[in-house]
Amino acid sequence: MNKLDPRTKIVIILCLSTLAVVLNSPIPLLVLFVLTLVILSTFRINFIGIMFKFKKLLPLLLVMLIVQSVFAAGGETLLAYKGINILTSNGFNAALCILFRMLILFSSAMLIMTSSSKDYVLALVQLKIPYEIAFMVMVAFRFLPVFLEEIKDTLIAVQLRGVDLKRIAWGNKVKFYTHFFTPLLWSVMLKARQLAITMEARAFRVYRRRTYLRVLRYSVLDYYVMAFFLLTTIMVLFYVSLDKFSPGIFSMTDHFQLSPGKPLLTTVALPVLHCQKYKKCPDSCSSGLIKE
Amino acid sequence: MDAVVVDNLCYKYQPSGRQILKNISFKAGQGEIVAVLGLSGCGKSTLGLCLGGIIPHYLGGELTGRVQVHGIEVKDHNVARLALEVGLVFQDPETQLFLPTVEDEIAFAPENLCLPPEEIGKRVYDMINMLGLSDIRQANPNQLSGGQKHLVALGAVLALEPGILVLDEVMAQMDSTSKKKIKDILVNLRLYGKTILIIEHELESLSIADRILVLEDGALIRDGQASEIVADEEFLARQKLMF
Amino acid sequence: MAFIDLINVSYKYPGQQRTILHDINLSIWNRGCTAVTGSNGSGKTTLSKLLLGILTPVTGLVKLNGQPLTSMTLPQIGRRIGYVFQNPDRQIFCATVEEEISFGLQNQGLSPDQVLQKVKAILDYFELTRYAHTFPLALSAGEKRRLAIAAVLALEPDLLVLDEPTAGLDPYRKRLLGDYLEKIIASHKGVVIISHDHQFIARYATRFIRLKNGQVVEGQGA
Repeated sequence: MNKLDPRTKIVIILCLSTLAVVLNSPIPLLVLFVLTLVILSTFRINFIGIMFKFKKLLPLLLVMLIVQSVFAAGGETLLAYKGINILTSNGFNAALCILFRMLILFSSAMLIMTSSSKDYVLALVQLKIPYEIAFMVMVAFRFLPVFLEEIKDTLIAVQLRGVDLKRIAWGNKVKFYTHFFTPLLWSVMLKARQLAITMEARAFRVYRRRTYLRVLRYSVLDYYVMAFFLLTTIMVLFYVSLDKFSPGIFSMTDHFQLSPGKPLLTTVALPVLHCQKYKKCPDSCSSGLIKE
Repeated sequence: MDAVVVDNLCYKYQPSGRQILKNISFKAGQGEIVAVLGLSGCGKSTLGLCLGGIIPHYLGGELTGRVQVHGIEVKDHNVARLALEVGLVFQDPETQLFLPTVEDEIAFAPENLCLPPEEIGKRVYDMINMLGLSDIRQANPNQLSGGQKHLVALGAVLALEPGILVLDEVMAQMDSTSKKKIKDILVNLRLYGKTILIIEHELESLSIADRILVLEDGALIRDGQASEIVADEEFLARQKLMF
Repeated sequence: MAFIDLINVSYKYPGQQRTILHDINLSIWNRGCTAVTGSNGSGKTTLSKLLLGILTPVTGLVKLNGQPLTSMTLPQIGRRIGYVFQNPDRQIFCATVEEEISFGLQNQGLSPDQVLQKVKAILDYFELTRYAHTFPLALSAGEKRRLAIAAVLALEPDLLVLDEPTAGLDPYRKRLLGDYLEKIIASHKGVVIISHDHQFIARYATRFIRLKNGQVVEGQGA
C-alpha cells in the first residue's frame, strides 16, 4: 500500500476528513475512526504511540463538554446547578464528536508521512499547481523540525545563563518570551533569505517551467483505491443529505479551522518572494541549457 | 578570455557605512585555482558573494567597479542566470540543503534547467560517483555531518556544470580525511578547465592553490604565486595568518 | 571526588537502536585543559551534553561535586559549568551584542556598574567593541562564535565546556581564544574542549580523551 501514488493518498485523506466534518453523531464517527485505523494499519503505520499523546487534550475536551452542555439546547439533563444545565446528553454527544473528529483528522494526516516530501512536490506539480508553491510547502515541512530543535537548544542556553523558566512568575515569563521572540523571528527571516539565495544560486526559477528526475504514474491499484474512496464518500454524503445519519445535533464544524502559525508562513513565503522575476521560457524546454 | 575579471571593485552595505571592499582588481584565468586568504571580517566572503551576484541583487548596498564572469557583467543579470556560470558553495552547511534526500538535492539544479529526465539522471549519477556519495544517496541531508553536507552542496552546485566555482570556507569544518578528499576532487576539476576560487583562512587548506590573493581590511594587499606566499613566513606572521 | 564524575554512564537517543556511549566511567576536574577527540558521530557532543545535564543518561549517574545532576536545575548547573554549543546561532538570543554578554551577568545579581565594567572588558578582549550595538545574528560566522564564547566566559564558571570552539575562527582569533583559555586555566579553573583541530588541542590541552566505539580511551597526545 505504501507504493500508492501520493495523489491517491491525498484523495484518501480528503475523503476521510470530509466525512469526519460532515458526520455529526458519535456512532458513525466512531465507525469512521475505526475504519481510519484499519487503513493506517494496511499502510503499516504505528499509530498507537501517537494516540497516547492525545491524553493531553483531555482537559480541553472536558471544557468542551461543559460548554456544549450549557449553551446547546435540548437533550436530557444529566446534571444541573441552580437551573443551569451542566451536563446534558447533547453536550456529551457533542464532546464525543469532537474527540472522534480530532482523532480522525490527525490519524488520516499520518498517511502523508508514508511518502517522501519530494513526491508531494511532484504530486502538486502534476495536479497543475505552480511549482513555486509546491516547493514552498515542502520547504516548510522540511524546516519545521529543525526550527523546533533550535528553539529547544536556545531555551537550554537561556536557562544555563541563569533564568529558571520553571520558577519565574507569570508576568516575567510573558516579558521574557516577548523579549526572546524578536531575535527568533529575525533568525527565521535570515534563514529564509539564505535559503532563497541558495535556491536561486542553483538556478531556481530560471525558466517558467522545470522538469523532474522522476515522474509520477498511477498504477491500476491507484485507480481502484481512488474510485472506492470517492464513491463511498459521495454515497455517504448523499445519505447524510437525506438526514438518515444526522439526528439533528448541533454541528460543530467551525471548531476545526486549523490555522498555521505566522512564523511558519513567513518562512515559507519568503524564499519565493525573494526570488526574482522569471526569465523568458525557451520555446522548447527540453532543448537543454539556453544561454542569453 | 579570463574567466573572472574584477576591476576596481568597491562595496559598502550602507552609503554612510564602512567600506567592506576597497578598489579590488584581479583576473583569474580558466583552469586556475585561486585562494583568497585573510582574517575573518576582511571581506573575503563578500567578494565571493559579489561574484555570484548575491551582492548586489539580494543584499543590496553600494557596489562600484566591474565584476565580470565569462564576460558577463554581474550587475546586469539575476542570480539564477549567473548560477549557470558561477557555482557558489556557502559557508553555513545548515541552510544550503533543503530537500529530503541527497539524490533530490543534486537533481534540483539540473531540473531547473528543464533538462530531460535521462540527462538529469546521468548528471546525478556522475556527481554521486565523483564525490563518493553512493552510500548516502538516499540519506536525509539533515542527518549528515558538517563535512558531508558540504560535499553534497558541492555536488548540487556542480550538477549545473558551471565554469567557475567559489567555495567559502568549505574545509573549515572537515576532518583531515574529508579535507584530503575535497582537495583531490578540486585538483581533478581543474583538469576539466574549471576556475576555482577557494576562500579560506587556514594555510593548510591552500596547498592546491596556484595563486593566492591576500585581503586585509577590504583591500587586496598581495597577489602572487602560492608557493612564494606560503614560503614568506615573515609576511604571514605579520598578517596574523599563522597559528 | 572529582568536579564531575560519570559513573557507569550509557546513552542512546530515544527511538534509536545504537547505544552511543557505553558504560563510561570518567572523572573531570576543574583544573587544566581536557581535550575530547573522536571521529564524526563518535558521541563527542553527546558526552558534553551529559556533562551539563542537558541529556540524562539512560543508565548510570552524573555527579557534580558529589551531587547528582538530576537533582539540580539548569540555572544551578549553569553557574558552575559554562557551555558553548557547536552551532553558536542557537545560544544567541538577545537584541544586541552588548545585551548578549550582560544577560547572564544580570541574572547573577551583579550591580549595574559591575555589569557594565565586565561587559566592556570582555568586549574589548574579544574585539567586539565596535559591534556592541549590532544585532548579533547579523555578524559573520566567526564573530558569532566569538560572541557565544565571550558571553559564557563572562560568567566565570568553574569549568568551561566548548564544543568545536575553533570552527570558523581564523588563526589569529584561535590564538586569542587559546590565550584566554590559558588565563582561565591559570586562575584555577577547568576547560573541556571537544575538537578535531589537532593543532589547537596539541598546543593547549593537558589531558587527552578519545572516544572510540562508545568507550573512553585516555591518551598521551593529540
